[in-house]
Amino acid sequence: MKYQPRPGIVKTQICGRTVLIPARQAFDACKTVQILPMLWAGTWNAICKGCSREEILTAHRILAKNKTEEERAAQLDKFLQSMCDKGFLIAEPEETAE
Amino acid sequence: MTNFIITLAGHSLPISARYADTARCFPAPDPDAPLAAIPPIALSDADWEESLRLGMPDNAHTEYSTLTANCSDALLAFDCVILHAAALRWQDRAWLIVAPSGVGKSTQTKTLQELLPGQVTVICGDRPVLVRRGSEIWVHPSPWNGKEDWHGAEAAPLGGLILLKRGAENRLYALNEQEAILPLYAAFIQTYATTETVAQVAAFEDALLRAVPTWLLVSNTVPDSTRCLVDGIFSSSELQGS
Repeated sequence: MKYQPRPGIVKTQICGRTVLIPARQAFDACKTVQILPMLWAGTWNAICKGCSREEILTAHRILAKNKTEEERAAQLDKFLQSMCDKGFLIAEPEETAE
Repeated sequence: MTNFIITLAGHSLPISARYADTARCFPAPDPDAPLAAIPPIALSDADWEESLRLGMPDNAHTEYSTLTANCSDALLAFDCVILHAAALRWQDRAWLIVAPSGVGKSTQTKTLQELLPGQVTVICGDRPVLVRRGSEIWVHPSPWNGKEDWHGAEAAPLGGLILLKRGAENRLYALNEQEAILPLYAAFIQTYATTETVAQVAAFEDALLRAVPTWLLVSNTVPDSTRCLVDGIFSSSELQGS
Protein backbone atom coordinates (compact mmCIF):
# COMPACT_ATOMS: atom_id res chain seq x y z
CA MET A 1 0.00 0.00 0.00
CA LYS A 2 0.95 3.62 -0.48
CA TYR A 3 -0.22 6.23 2.00
CA GLN A 4 -0.79 9.94 1.77
CA PRO A 5 -2.33 12.56 4.06
CA ARG A 6 -5.93 13.34 3.18
CA PRO A 7 -6.21 16.70 1.34
CA GLY A 8 -7.17 19.38 3.86
CA ILE A 9 -5.21 17.87 6.77
CA VAL A 10 -2.88 20.50 8.29
CA LYS A 11 0.26 19.34 10.09
CA THR A 12 1.53 22.00 12.45
CA GLN A 13 3.39 22.55 15.72
CA ILE A 14 1.74 23.80 18.91
CA CYS A 15 3.96 24.17 21.98
CA GLY A 16 6.48 21.72 20.59
CA ARG A 17 3.96 19.01 19.75
CA THR A 18 3.04 17.93 16.23
CA VAL A 19 -0.69 18.35 15.70
CA LEU A 20 -2.91 17.25 12.80
CA ILE A 21 -5.96 19.43 12.19
CA PRO A 22 -8.60 18.93 9.49
CA ALA A 23 -9.75 21.91 7.43
CA ARG A 24 -13.27 21.87 6.01
CA GLN A 25 -12.08 20.10 2.86
CA ALA A 26 -11.40 16.98 4.99
CA PHE A 27 -14.51 17.17 7.19
CA ASP A 28 -16.44 14.40 5.43
CA ALA A 29 -13.84 11.89 6.56
CA CYS A 30 -12.16 13.57 9.53
CA LYS A 31 -13.35 15.99 12.20
CA THR A 32 -10.96 15.37 15.10
CA VAL A 33 -7.71 17.06 16.06
CA GLN A 34 -4.84 14.69 16.83
CA ILE A 35 -1.57 15.18 18.68
CA LEU A 36 1.09 12.90 17.18
CA PRO A 37 3.47 11.24 19.64
CA MET A 38 7.05 12.31 18.90
CA LEU A 39 7.94 8.91 17.43
CA TRP A 40 5.19 9.16 14.85
CA ALA A 41 5.84 12.81 14.01
CA GLY A 42 9.04 11.73 12.25
CA THR A 43 7.29 8.85 10.52
CA TRP A 44 4.57 11.25 9.33
CA ASN A 45 7.20 13.15 7.34
CA ALA A 46 7.95 9.98 5.35
CA ILE A 47 4.22 9.49 4.78
CA CYS A 48 3.89 13.06 3.49
CA LYS A 49 6.54 12.34 0.86
CA GLY A 50 4.24 9.69 -0.61
CA CYS A 51 6.46 6.81 0.49
CA SER A 52 5.38 3.19 0.26
CA ARG A 53 4.84 1.09 3.40
CA GLU A 54 8.33 -0.39 2.99
CA GLU A 55 9.90 3.07 2.71
CA ILE A 56 7.92 4.28 5.73
CA LEU A 57 9.08 1.19 7.63
CA THR A 58 12.69 2.09 6.80
CA ALA A 59 12.17 5.59 8.21
CA HIS A 60 10.44 4.11 11.24
CA ARG A 61 13.35 1.68 11.75
CA ILE A 62 15.66 4.64 12.34
CA LEU A 63 13.25 6.20 14.82
CA ALA A 64 12.21 3.08 16.73
CA LYS A 65 15.63 1.56 17.34
CA ASN A 66 14.80 -0.38 20.48
CA LYS A 67 12.22 -2.67 18.82
CA THR A 68 12.62 -5.87 16.88
CA GLU A 69 11.84 -5.81 13.17
CA GLU A 70 8.56 -7.66 13.78
CA GLU A 71 7.54 -5.30 16.57
CA ARG A 72 8.33 -2.27 14.43
CA ALA A 73 6.31 -3.59 11.50
CA ALA A 74 3.32 -4.41 13.72
CA GLN A 75 3.56 -1.03 15.43
CA LEU A 76 3.66 0.76 12.08
CA ASP A 77 0.74 -1.19 10.59
CA LYS A 78 -1.37 -0.44 13.67
CA PHE A 79 -0.53 3.26 13.40
CA LEU A 80 -1.26 3.44 9.66
CA GLN A 81 -4.58 1.60 10.10
CA SER A 82 -5.57 3.85 13.00
CA MET A 83 -4.77 7.00 11.02
CA CYS A 84 -6.74 5.69 8.02
CA ASP A 85 -9.71 4.86 10.30
CA LYS A 86 -9.65 8.39 11.77
CA GLY A 87 -9.55 9.88 8.26
CA PHE A 88 -6.10 11.50 8.42
CA LEU A 89 -4.56 9.13 5.86
CA ILE A 90 -5.63 7.67 2.55
CA ALA A 91 -4.31 4.23 1.61
CA GLU A 92 -3.96 3.23 -2.03
CA PRO A 93 -2.75 -0.04 -3.52
CA GLU A 94 0.72 0.27 -5.03
CA GLU A 95 1.01 -0.02 -8.78
CA THR A 96 2.85 -3.19 -9.67
CA ALA A 97 5.39 -3.23 -12.51
CA GLU A 98 4.25 -5.87 -15.02
CA MET B 1 -27.53 42.42 0.45
CA THR B 2 -27.04 45.09 3.12
CA ASN B 3 -23.58 46.57 3.64
CA PHE B 4 -22.41 47.99 6.97
CA ILE B 5 -19.31 48.32 9.16
CA ILE B 6 -18.55 46.75 12.53
CA THR B 7 -15.58 47.42 14.80
CA LEU B 8 -13.72 44.59 16.52
CA ALA B 9 -10.63 45.22 18.69
CA GLY B 10 -9.96 48.53 16.93
CA HIS B 11 -10.41 47.22 13.38
CA SER B 12 -13.41 48.29 11.34
CA LEU B 13 -14.56 45.45 9.09
CA PRO B 14 -16.95 45.67 6.13
CA ILE B 15 -19.91 43.27 6.33
CA SER B 16 -22.32 42.26 3.59
CA ALA B 17 -25.46 40.73 5.09
CA ARG B 18 -28.50 38.91 3.71
CA TYR B 19 -30.85 40.60 6.18
CA ALA B 20 -31.11 44.37 6.68
CA ASP B 21 -31.89 43.70 10.36
CA THR B 22 -28.56 41.95 10.88
CA ALA B 23 -26.86 45.37 11.16
CA ARG B 24 -29.10 46.15 14.16
CA CYS B 25 -27.53 43.23 16.09
CA PHE B 26 -24.18 45.09 16.17
CA PRO B 27 -23.24 48.30 17.98
CA ALA B 28 -22.35 51.37 15.93
CA PRO B 29 -18.80 51.21 14.54
CA ASP B 30 -16.00 53.24 16.09
CA PRO B 31 -15.47 56.20 13.68
CA ASP B 32 -11.80 56.40 14.73
CA ALA B 33 -11.00 52.77 13.91
CA PRO B 34 -9.30 52.31 10.52
CA LEU B 35 -11.34 50.46 7.93
CA ALA B 36 -9.64 47.19 7.01
CA ALA B 37 -8.79 46.93 3.32
CA ILE B 38 -10.49 43.57 2.86
CA PRO B 39 -13.46 42.39 0.78
CA PRO B 40 -16.79 42.55 2.64
CA ILE B 41 -17.26 39.64 5.05
CA ALA B 42 -20.29 37.59 4.05
CA LEU B 43 -21.69 34.15 4.70
CA SER B 44 -21.30 31.73 1.83
CA ASP B 45 -24.31 29.70 0.73
CA ALA B 46 -22.65 26.68 2.35
CA ASP B 47 -22.26 28.54 5.69
CA TRP B 48 -25.89 29.56 5.60
CA GLU B 49 -27.21 26.13 4.65
CA GLU B 50 -25.15 24.55 7.43
CA SER B 51 -26.70 26.92 10.01
CA LEU B 52 -30.21 26.07 8.82
CA ARG B 53 -29.34 22.35 8.79
CA LEU B 54 -28.38 22.68 12.46
CA GLY B 55 -31.90 23.91 13.17
CA MET B 56 -31.19 27.63 13.50
CA PRO B 57 -34.05 29.86 12.32
CA ASP B 58 -33.83 31.65 8.98
CA ASN B 59 -33.46 35.18 10.37
CA ALA B 60 -31.12 38.10 11.09
CA HIS B 61 -30.10 36.79 14.54
CA THR B 62 -28.84 33.56 13.00
CA GLU B 63 -26.83 35.57 10.49
CA TYR B 64 -25.36 37.75 13.28
CA SER B 65 -24.37 34.63 15.21
CA THR B 66 -23.00 32.69 12.23
CA LEU B 67 -20.92 35.66 11.05
CA THR B 68 -18.66 35.23 14.11
CA ALA B 69 -16.58 32.56 12.37
CA ASN B 70 -16.17 34.60 9.19
CA CYS B 71 -15.15 37.66 11.24
CA SER B 72 -12.67 35.57 13.22
CA ASP B 73 -11.09 34.30 9.98
CA ALA B 74 -10.81 37.89 8.71
CA LEU B 75 -9.25 39.08 11.98
CA LEU B 76 -6.39 36.57 11.67
CA ALA B 77 -4.73 38.97 9.21
CA PHE B 78 -4.46 41.46 12.11
CA ASP B 79 -3.12 38.95 14.69
CA CYS B 80 -6.56 38.65 16.26
CA VAL B 81 -8.98 35.76 16.69
CA ILE B 82 -12.31 35.08 18.41
CA LEU B 83 -12.52 32.48 21.19
CA HIS B 84 -15.60 30.80 22.69
CA ALA B 85 -15.12 31.78 26.33
CA ALA B 86 -16.37 34.01 29.10
CA ALA B 87 -13.88 36.88 29.52
CA LEU B 88 -13.63 38.38 33.01
CA ARG B 89 -11.59 41.24 34.35
CA TRP B 90 -9.96 41.01 37.80
CA GLN B 91 -6.98 43.00 39.09
CA ASP B 92 -6.51 44.76 35.72
CA ARG B 93 -6.03 41.40 33.97
CA ALA B 94 -8.35 39.38 31.78
CA TRP B 95 -9.23 35.78 32.69
CA LEU B 96 -10.87 33.41 30.24
CA ILE B 97 -13.23 30.61 31.28
CA VAL B 98 -13.26 28.20 28.33
CA ALA B 99 -15.86 25.46 27.85
CA PRO B 100 -18.43 24.27 25.33
CA SER B 101 -21.95 25.71 25.61
CA GLY B 102 -23.93 24.47 28.59
CA VAL B 103 -21.00 23.43 30.79
CA GLY B 104 -21.28 26.40 33.16
CA LYS B 105 -19.25 29.42 32.03
CA SER B 106 -22.07 31.79 32.95
CA THR B 107 -22.71 30.06 36.30
CA GLN B 108 -19.02 30.32 37.24
CA THR B 109 -18.96 33.98 36.16
CA LYS B 110 -22.04 34.86 38.23
CA THR B 111 -20.78 32.94 41.27
CA LEU B 112 -17.33 34.55 41.07
CA GLN B 113 -19.00 37.96 41.11
CA GLU B 114 -20.96 36.92 44.20
CA LEU B 115 -17.88 35.55 46.00
CA LEU B 116 -15.72 38.56 45.08
CA PRO B 117 -18.21 41.45 45.18
CA GLY B 118 -17.10 44.49 43.22
CA GLN B 119 -13.86 42.85 42.04
CA VAL B 120 -14.88 40.90 38.94
CA THR B 121 -16.40 42.50 35.83
CA VAL B 122 -17.25 40.95 32.47
CA ILE B 123 -15.40 41.97 29.30
CA CYS B 124 -17.45 39.65 27.09
CA GLY B 125 -19.91 36.93 28.06
CA ASP B 126 -19.41 34.53 25.17
CA ARG B 127 -16.96 35.27 22.33
CA PRO B 128 -14.23 37.82 23.11
CA VAL B 129 -11.63 38.95 20.58
CA LEU B 130 -8.05 38.01 21.46
CA VAL B 131 -5.24 40.19 20.13
CA ARG B 132 -1.57 39.23 20.00
CA ARG B 133 0.74 42.15 20.87
CA GLY B 134 4.33 40.94 21.04
CA SER B 135 4.44 38.23 23.68
CA GLU B 136 1.23 39.46 25.32
CA ILE B 137 -2.36 38.54 24.52
CA TRP B 138 -5.05 41.18 25.03
CA VAL B 139 -8.72 40.39 25.49
CA HIS B 140 -11.25 42.74 23.89
CA PRO B 141 -15.05 42.94 24.02
CA SER B 142 -17.14 41.84 21.05
CA PRO B 143 -20.79 42.09 19.98
CA TRP B 144 -21.26 38.39 20.82
CA ASN B 145 -22.06 38.40 24.54
CA GLY B 146 -24.17 35.27 24.98
CA LYS B 147 -27.72 34.85 26.17
CA GLU B 148 -27.14 36.96 29.31
CA ASP B 149 -25.65 39.79 27.21
CA TRP B 150 -22.92 40.33 29.82
CA HIS B 151 -20.33 42.90 28.74
CA GLY B 152 -19.02 46.31 29.66
CA ALA B 153 -15.50 45.99 31.06
CA GLU B 154 -12.62 47.40 29.03
CA ALA B 155 -9.99 45.33 27.23
CA ALA B 156 -7.17 43.97 29.39
CA PRO B 157 -4.00 41.89 29.02
CA LEU B 158 -4.65 38.21 29.59
CA GLY B 159 -3.70 36.81 33.01
CA GLY B 160 -4.68 33.17 32.57
CA LEU B 161 -6.87 30.52 30.99
CA ILE B 162 -9.31 28.34 32.91
CA LEU B 163 -10.58 25.26 31.05
CA LEU B 164 -13.86 24.23 32.65
CA LYS B 165 -15.38 20.77 32.62
CA ARG B 166 -18.00 18.94 34.63
CA GLY B 167 -16.85 16.04 36.79
CA ALA B 168 -17.31 14.09 39.99
CA GLU B 169 -15.18 16.45 42.10
CA ASN B 170 -14.52 20.12 42.64
CA ARG B 171 -10.85 20.71 41.96
CA LEU B 172 -8.46 23.07 40.21
CA TYR B 173 -5.45 21.59 38.39
CA ALA B 174 -2.52 23.46 36.88
CA LEU B 175 -2.07 22.23 33.28
CA ASN B 176 1.05 22.18 31.20
CA GLU B 177 0.88 23.63 27.69
CA GLN B 178 0.58 20.25 25.98
CA GLU B 179 -2.35 19.14 28.12
CA ALA B 180 -4.32 22.19 27.06
CA ILE B 181 -3.78 21.90 23.28
CA LEU B 182 -6.83 19.82 22.32
CA PRO B 183 -9.54 21.35 24.54
CA LEU B 184 -8.37 24.88 23.77
CA TYR B 185 -8.17 24.38 19.99
CA ALA B 186 -11.84 23.39 19.91
CA ALA B 187 -12.78 26.75 21.45
CA PHE B 188 -11.38 28.90 18.63
CA ILE B 189 -14.15 30.28 16.43
CA GLN B 190 -13.30 29.73 12.76
CA THR B 191 -14.83 28.52 9.51
CA TYR B 192 -12.10 25.90 8.84
CA ALA B 193 -12.52 26.97 5.20
CA THR B 194 -8.83 26.88 4.23
CA THR B 195 -5.70 25.13 5.41
CA GLU B 196 -4.05 28.57 5.74
CA THR B 197 -6.54 29.90 8.32
CA VAL B 198 -6.49 26.59 10.21
CA ALA B 199 -2.67 26.89 10.47
CA GLN B 200 -2.95 30.54 11.56
CA VAL B 201 -5.33 29.59 14.37
CA ALA B 202 -2.87 26.90 15.48
CA ALA B 203 -0.06 29.49 15.54
CA PHE B 204 -2.26 31.78 17.64
CA GLU B 205 -2.95 28.95 20.08
CA ASP B 206 0.78 28.31 20.36
CA ALA B 207 1.36 31.97 21.30
CA LEU B 208 -1.58 31.95 23.72
CA LEU B 209 -0.45 28.85 25.61
CA ARG B 210 3.10 30.18 25.87
CA ALA B 211 1.91 33.58 27.12
CA VAL B 212 -0.12 32.67 30.22
CA PRO B 213 -0.71 29.84 32.71
CA THR B 214 -3.58 27.40 32.15
CA TRP B 215 -5.74 25.62 34.70
CA LEU B 216 -8.40 22.93 34.51
CA LEU B 217 -11.38 23.49 36.79
CA VAL B 218 -13.40 20.31 37.35
CA SER B 219 -16.80 21.33 38.63
CA ASN B 220 -19.32 19.12 40.35
CA THR B 221 -21.22 21.66 42.42
CA VAL B 222 -21.37 25.43 42.56
CA PRO B 223 -20.28 27.41 44.61
CA ASP B 224 -17.78 24.77 45.84
CA SER B 225 -15.97 24.60 42.48
CA THR B 226 -15.95 28.40 42.21
CA ARG B 227 -14.29 28.55 45.64
CA CYS B 228 -11.46 26.45 44.16
CA LEU B 229 -10.97 29.25 41.61
CA VAL B 230 -10.99 31.91 44.29
CA ASP B 231 -8.55 30.00 46.51
CA GLY B 232 -6.28 28.90 43.65
CA ILE B 233 -6.18 31.96 41.40
CA PHE B 234 -8.21 34.95 42.48
CA SER B 235 -6.63 35.32 45.91
CA SER B 236 -3.05 34.63 44.87
CA SER B 237 -0.86 37.35 46.34
CA GLU B 238 1.76 37.00 43.59
CA LEU B 239 -0.85 37.93 40.99
CA GLN B 240 -2.19 40.91 42.87
CA GLY B 241 -0.86 44.16 41.53
CA SER B 242 0.56 42.45 38.42
